[in-house]
Amino acid sequence: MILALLLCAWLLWQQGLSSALVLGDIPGLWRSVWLSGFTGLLSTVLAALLAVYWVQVGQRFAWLVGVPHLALAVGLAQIWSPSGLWGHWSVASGLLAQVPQFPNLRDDNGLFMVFALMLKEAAFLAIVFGSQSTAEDGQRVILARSLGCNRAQAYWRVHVPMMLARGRYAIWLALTYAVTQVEVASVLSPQRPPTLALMIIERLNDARPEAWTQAIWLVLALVVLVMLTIVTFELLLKPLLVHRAFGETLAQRCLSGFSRFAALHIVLSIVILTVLAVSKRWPSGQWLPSGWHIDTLSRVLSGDVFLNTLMLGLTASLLGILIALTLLHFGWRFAGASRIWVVAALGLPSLLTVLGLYWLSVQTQLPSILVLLWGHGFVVLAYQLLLLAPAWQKLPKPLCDQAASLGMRPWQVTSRVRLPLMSRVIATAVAIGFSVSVAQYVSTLVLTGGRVQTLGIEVVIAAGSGQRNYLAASALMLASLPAVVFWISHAAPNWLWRTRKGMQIVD
Amino acid sequence: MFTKTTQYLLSLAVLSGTAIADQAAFDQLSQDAKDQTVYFHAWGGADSINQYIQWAADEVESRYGVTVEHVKIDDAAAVVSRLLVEKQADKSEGGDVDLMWVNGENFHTLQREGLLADGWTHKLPNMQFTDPDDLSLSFDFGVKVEQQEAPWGRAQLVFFADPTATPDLPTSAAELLAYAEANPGRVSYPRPPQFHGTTFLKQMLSELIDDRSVLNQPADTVDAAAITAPLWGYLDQLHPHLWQQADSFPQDAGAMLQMLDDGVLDIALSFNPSEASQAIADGRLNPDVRSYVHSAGTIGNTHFVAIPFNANAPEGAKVFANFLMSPEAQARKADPNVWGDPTVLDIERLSAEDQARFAALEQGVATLSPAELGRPLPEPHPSWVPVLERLWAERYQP
Amino acid sequence: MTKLAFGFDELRNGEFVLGPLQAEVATGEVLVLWGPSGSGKSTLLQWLVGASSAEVKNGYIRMAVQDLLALPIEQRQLGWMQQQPLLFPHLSVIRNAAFATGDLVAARQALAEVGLSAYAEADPATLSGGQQARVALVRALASKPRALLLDEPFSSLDPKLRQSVRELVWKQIRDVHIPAILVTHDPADIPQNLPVTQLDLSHA
Repeated sequence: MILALLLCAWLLWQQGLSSALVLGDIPGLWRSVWLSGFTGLLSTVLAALLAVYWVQVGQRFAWLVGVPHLALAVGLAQIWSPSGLWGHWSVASGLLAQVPQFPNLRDDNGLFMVFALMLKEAAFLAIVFGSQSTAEDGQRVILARSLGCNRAQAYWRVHVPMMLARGRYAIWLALTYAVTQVEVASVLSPQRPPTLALMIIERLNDARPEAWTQAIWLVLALVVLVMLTIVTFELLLKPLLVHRAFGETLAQRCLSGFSRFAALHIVLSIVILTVLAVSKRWPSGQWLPSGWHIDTLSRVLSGDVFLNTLMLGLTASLLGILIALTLLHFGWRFAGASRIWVVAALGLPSLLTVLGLYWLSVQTQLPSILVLLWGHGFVVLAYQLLLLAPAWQKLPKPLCDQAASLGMRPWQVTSRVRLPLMSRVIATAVAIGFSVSVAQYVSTLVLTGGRVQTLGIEVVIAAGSGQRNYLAASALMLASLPAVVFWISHAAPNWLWRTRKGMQIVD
Repeated sequence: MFTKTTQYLLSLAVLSGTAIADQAAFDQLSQDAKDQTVYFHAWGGADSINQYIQWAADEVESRYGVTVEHVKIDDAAAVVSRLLVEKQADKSEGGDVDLMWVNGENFHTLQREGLLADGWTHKLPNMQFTDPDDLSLSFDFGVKVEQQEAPWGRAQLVFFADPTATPDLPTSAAELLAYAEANPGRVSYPRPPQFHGTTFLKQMLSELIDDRSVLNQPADTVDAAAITAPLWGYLDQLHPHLWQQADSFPQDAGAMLQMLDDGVLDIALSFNPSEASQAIADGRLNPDVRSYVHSAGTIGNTHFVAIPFNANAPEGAKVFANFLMSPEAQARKADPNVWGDPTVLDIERLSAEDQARFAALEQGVATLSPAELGRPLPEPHPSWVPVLERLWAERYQP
Repeated sequence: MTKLAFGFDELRNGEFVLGPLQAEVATGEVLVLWGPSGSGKSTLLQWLVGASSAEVKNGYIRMAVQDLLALPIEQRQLGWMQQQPLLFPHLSVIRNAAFATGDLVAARQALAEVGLSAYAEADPATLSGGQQARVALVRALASKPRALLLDEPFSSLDPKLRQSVRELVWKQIRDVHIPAILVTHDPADIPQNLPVTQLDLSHA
């Protein structure tokens, strides 16, 4: 918020309000605004429906949350691009004489981008919806059936609207991300014109002097667009979803088919990344690539880029944990005014924050690594507080009082009672912070000018230049790094407390 | 005969004299550069080039104690844009960029906006191995270099195809159109403003107009719309027959090479004459692929490294730039198994030992000889780049 | 006169087994199912309504001459009130009341009859427990059920409210004239002015 105001003020001071007229010079601006809004809304609505379904059928795609958008988009592109999996297989099977021209992954309406976005958003929303659903939800659905709804009607008229209503803020977050993201767009965005967010990135990469002014006004336009899409969702789309009273059975069948289709793509995209990461050529007309090797993979693994990504993620995440726990110790609560910045950190388009921070760093000439840690830490900390604050509040007070009555000072109560009790959720928060940092591609690029090379930047560069083996190896590492950290964060507390039965369920 | 020998001896004396003077200054420079970290911003889209830069970085680390970090970027214009912002914010020292790989329009912008360090390349000892009369080294897209960037390598547009599958290689704009009409969906070019895409536009423009010399003048001094009209007329005819009917384009030349190998396209292009050989040697490309050029010649240029006005480690940057121009580094770069980028050095001026390095290089299986490559067509004045990109976008990317 | 009749040799839900049992309840009558907790009262009711996965041997549920057992839950037309009112949190009070029919006019009238017309547009979460129970009753009756199944509907209410909600429920049963089955362990829940049959499940 503050950064947005600062940016506006700076613009006004430097160039005056009339500098907004530069927006008029941008070809395809309105189409781009429409594209961003349309793809954002469509992907979020589909993701929400899929997430509700996944919660209901107990589909376990929670791990997908840790896989950066970029890696998933690259995997999907390798399935559907004309020379991807289907293309090669249709020639190998004799179905086609040569590799097909279509589909165009960057079709003008961005449907592939919508699909990729939807998968990731669905995983995120499924986690939120899952944590919010209660045993009573199931009873309500049965009750609705006793009132005369069949299975599909009860699902669409009770289950879906209940989840959508409760998960409102999560949906807003997903919507904001979908409208403003660069990660999936950099691989799958249409080009005639690109999305608004990509237009901004193009302007940051443009040497013309007016490009920066355009970029900043476009960011502000993006903020307005986000608000508009949220309003559109609440006023137009949600009522449509909630009060729809026809075709439930058909919709149910479509949803279950769609869920299978989505699940297939999630699995395939990881598989194809793995296959391409360890192979060189895939001659046309063959079922599988030829020339297996792990040179590229081992080079990526041993390179600076991998190490940078790991170190940056761990530093930002551990720093975040330290700050979060300190704040909680001194009585910070997720309520009132202190909630605003957490919501702002998560809900504002990251491009706005990044541009604001970059502007700040140029003005104050702070070292870029410091600004980078700030940029990452800001978002990381918000996620961690979101997770840690409720856990802190849920700690049994009598236990802490007991410790105090045994003569411990407040910091001792925290370090010797609270922290061990929270070890499990702290480990999860480290993992989440890590995956948030790893996924931060734009801020890393803009704030350091690429000086700190991370896997995300590497993947975007490789994605543009068609070096498939290298691209797949980097994307695979990008996907597996957070997964490994998640796994460790899950396994470590179990191992640590393997002899303490009472610690097995503290969460 | 006598005069020629005298001239030669004289010039040798002058040269070695300056070389000795330079050497002392350069020793001081490399003393100052010790322990500096140089952030080298260079396009990172090709694995082979990245590995070469890493090799060069390791060498200057061990020889001069200068650490070089390759900052991989996907577009040099982004660096120019940052430097512009830093200039506006009066950040005149401690900048993020110490050395950057650049040429053409971006160099033109850097020079025009005062974003470059003052002339420095004459202080590099290895400049003695270049030909001072070579206009392709003193002019970059027709813009005087003013010693603000050091030559690094040469590029020339080449096309790749598999002659066993595509026997009649189209070697002109007209033949390319005919080929596309006969083989719909099998031809494309990278999407401008990606520089390979823009180069394709320049190539076609150069072939399609009668008087090529008009392109040497700044675009705003002539009627650019009228001059480029034949190009748009040509593309209007070509586009319906392109891959995906020109609804989308390959991201860049690397992507095209991959598409060639995947059997999506019949023709790829590159600025690196050895790229196909290198990809074949690396096992990434169908070994039947060969290079060819258009009969009217193809666009060629020189690429350079430049130091920004607010570089944090200018001394280290100069040491690295000098190493990049060394016969050793240039010979390795020219090796098709490493990168295959032609040298900027004048072989005649090298020691016998260094000449042998170049003589020992194998020409890759798919690389054209200098004679086959022919004399490169000059790059149009850099001001044509934004004009072509804008007109193209207005026409084909509404 | 329609009767709800049901019975089985054995009703098995995991470890829990009930039966044999046979009972019937006539229109306007209340069958009170007694028993301590764990005696299977709720299991029985869930089986009747069709919401249970319990296995049954030789079971039947007859409404007049129709066998309900083969029907899915939504076709049995049995009104169901549970301990928790379980209002739909995403709908307003009146939309909860009109859930089965969509008939807002009738729902408004029904709400007025239970003294809740002022809350028609309110968020159900803002209502008191007693008010929520009344909305749940209205919602169940609006679906025109052929019988009403009451699963300790008063137990979660404040003792002071309990009596007024009880009276309201009994009045509605009398008015719509359908069979009702009440599960309870509180003797005070048994209606005074309706024909009542009692069945003690602890012996079944």
